[in-house]
Amino acid sequence: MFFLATAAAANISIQFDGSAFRVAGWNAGREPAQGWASTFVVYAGSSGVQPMLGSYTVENAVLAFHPRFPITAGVHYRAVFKTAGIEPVEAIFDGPPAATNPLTRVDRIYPSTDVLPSNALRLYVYFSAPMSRGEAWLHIHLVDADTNQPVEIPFLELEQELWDQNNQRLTVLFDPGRIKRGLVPTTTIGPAIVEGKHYKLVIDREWHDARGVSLVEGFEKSFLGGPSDRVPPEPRTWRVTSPNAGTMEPLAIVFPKPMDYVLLQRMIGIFDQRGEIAGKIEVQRNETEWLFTPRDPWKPGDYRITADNTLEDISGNHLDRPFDVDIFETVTRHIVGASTSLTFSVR
Amino acid sequence: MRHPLLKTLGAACLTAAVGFCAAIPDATTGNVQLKSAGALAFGNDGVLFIGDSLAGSVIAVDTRDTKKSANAPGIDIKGINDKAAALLGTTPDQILINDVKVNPISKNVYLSISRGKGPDAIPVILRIDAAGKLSEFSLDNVAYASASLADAPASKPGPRGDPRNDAITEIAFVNGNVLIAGLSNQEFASDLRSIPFPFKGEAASAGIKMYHGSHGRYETQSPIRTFVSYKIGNQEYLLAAYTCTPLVKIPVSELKAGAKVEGTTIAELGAGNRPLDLIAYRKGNHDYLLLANSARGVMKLDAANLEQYQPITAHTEVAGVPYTTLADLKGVKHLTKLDDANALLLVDNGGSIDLRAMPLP
Repeated sequence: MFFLATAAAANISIQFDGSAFRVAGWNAGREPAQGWASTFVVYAGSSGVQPMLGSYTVENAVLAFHPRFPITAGVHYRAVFKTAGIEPVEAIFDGPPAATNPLTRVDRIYPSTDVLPSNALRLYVYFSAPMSRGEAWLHIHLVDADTNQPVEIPFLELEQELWDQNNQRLTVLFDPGRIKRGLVPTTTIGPAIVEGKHYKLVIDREWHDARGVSLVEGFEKSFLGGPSDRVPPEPRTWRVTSPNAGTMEPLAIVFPKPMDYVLLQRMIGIFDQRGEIAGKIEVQRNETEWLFTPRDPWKPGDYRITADNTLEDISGNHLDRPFDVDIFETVTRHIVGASTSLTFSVR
Repeated sequence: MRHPLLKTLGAACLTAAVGFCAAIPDATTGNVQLKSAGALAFGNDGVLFIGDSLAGSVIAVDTRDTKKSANAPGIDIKGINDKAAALLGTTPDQILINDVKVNPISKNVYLSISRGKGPDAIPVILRIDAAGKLSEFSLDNVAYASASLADAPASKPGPRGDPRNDAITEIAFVNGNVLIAGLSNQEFASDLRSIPFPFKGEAASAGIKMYHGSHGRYETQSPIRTFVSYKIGNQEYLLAAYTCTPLVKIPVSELKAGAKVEGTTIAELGAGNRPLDLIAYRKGNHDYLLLANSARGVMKLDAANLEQYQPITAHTEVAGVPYTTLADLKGVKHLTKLDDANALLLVDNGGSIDLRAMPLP
């Protein structure tokens, strides 16, 4: 797009081509002692105190200002040219129009079960498009559905919000600092979720996506507070259904309780004698079922399922350690090493 | 506080100065490509540490900003987000100020900023001089070194799903080590790393698992929200604050890679609160701590005789180290030390983000 502003001084105008600002009709000679910034500056927004960062070039005697950062939607730019002997020339340009049409939604939330243990550790909120940082704690709420009152700071409100690389998945931790086992609840606020109570996780429509536009609609997830779970997941209780040789049937592992959705994508691997085999992972049935479809048909033989010991259930209990340890309780399990293995055979 | 040994080395460097003595030995000279700019800390000789959560690394940059200034200017900048937006050519709502730190030598103020809020946000370091003028601290053609936190295969992209991100929540330089508090966006890994500086190669130190006991019985993996180094008697400690708001002391000598360290709770400062920033200072021969909080204002704690406080093991809401609350300080987002007599506050004043100096109380 080409913008043009008429100059107050005859024949001198400031032009903007969408990336650089140029002084047309003026012959740029030697750079003044105080630099080109003493002659030509561009301000962003209404503040006229400090001009925008950028650099200057002179090509064919035309002075140009190149902003240090990209031209941004919704910003007004005011370019000012002044030199001895002529009236200052000023021009105002707009950046590209800011987007206004809502397109982004909450896609899904994990855990997907509707009963969350009272010591549930985290939620994953998936959005359909990249989101803005810095607003999460304004727009995500836990509401006691029985009283319709918000639960007081249920989440670990980190200033550095825990997004994935693309700002489409937010990790929300229930604040582990609230759960002080052994404390009397009258003097502390206790766990965010209480067994037997009903809750709503509420996400406001006003949350902005990365384009700066609100969501298409708000989102609610209702759930019931369940008993706390401080038992490490036990791979020996996982039910493995072996596929048949020559097929592409999925290998299925069924867990007795929901596991962490994101970690299930990464922390379980299938190995044959030669190493890890390639395939596709699916997680189903409220994160109690893990399905693995191999890239190539199953060959007969013995296989190994390896799970990292840092794999967690939805209360943050690892395979080798509960989330918080009561050091007075007898330790009954000792797992050594970084992973736990199960075996299965394909016939 | 500068370590006496480092002071000696610094002096030796000066006498041997032949152009090779850099603030960062074995530094690379070139352009630093940050993916994000988060927690900041200053080391010795004008070295600035920048936490880059998205890249999973800490970068040490020689700012060459070493002109000594004893006293800081009286900073009072209203609408710092407006001014940063004007400089960076965007709207004020697209500016996130992630951290504020002061160069202890020059007293210039450094801000880590995200220009934009989406995945294409541009990290920027801004500097504010004695006259209150903002400028970009350019990361082009600087001497730097970096330490990667990506020691776990989980934090590298692989065939099995997306990589883990470790958010760096706080950095400090203590006794020649860079201490980094971090938290993962996937498996629960809340840990503190202690990486000797200068950084050696790419290998990062293994995390230290942090616990604080609750009534001598339960180990809690609550993440450290903020910490400061502090000498108690002759021993260097970290004083760390957690949500709801225990103050815990941890001997720095125990912070070794792979160690499991349990801190001692010496104060309980109240529930329903998140601690934000903690500084230590001395005034009139007396030691104090200043703690900015989300809900309970700014607390001034008496830091005399911290060794005398017994571990808190009883049911209690508020106990331990005595404190007073500075009730008129509201909306504090960041608190840091400006000089020996002043603190610097980043305050959300009803939408206007202000940066201002305040005499240490």
